Amino acid sequence: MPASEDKSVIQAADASEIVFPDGLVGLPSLTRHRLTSVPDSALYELVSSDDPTMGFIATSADNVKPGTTDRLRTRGLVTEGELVLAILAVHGDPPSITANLAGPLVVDMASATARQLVLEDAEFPLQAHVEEPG
Amino acid sequence: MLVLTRRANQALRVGANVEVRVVRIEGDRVVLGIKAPRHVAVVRSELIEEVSVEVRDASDTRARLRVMLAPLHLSESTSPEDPGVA
Repeated sequence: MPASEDKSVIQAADASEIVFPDGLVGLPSLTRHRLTSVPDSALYELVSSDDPTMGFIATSADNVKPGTTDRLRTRGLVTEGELVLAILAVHGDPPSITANLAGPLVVDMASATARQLVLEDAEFPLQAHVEEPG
Repeated sequence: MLVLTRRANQALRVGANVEVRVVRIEGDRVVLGIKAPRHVAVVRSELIEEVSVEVRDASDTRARLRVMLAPLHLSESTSPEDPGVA
């Protein structure tokens, strides 16, 4: 099967180099990442340039919990124009998709910099359930 | 590590802008009140570890996630500046 027809391969375009000056939580050495928006989806892929074996699939936190960006902006944790992403993962048996709202990524595309927040708040769980695509 | 003894309703300051107050003591639990500027993150240490583990899990399960997410067609966004929120 040609790669373009393999639905298990996410096709990404327009990669942007993003710097996390403090790295990710627990992974401070991973400061440089390639961020791509996945065509035909609301997904992003973030792959470490420092360690290409480390990578993440994310979506706007607002897709998981509407209003997240506004709430964080109100708290002064996010500024206008910044993108708030929730990293997705697979947990459980049978497997289900979860979104990490407790540790969202805040990306400033204008400066190509980003940071990971840690939110001490029950409304932003570590493993928020995400409806799987039908 | 600096070790201080405080009683209920006593406080300590960290730098010029952070105050930590012992609100009450309940058995082996200490309830703390913290005043800090908005930009200062105040979180439980174990939450940092939990987020760290979750980040690693997310990377480890990326291949399975790709397969599970393959049917998604939520928008036509191709640029990080245009998130295409569904």
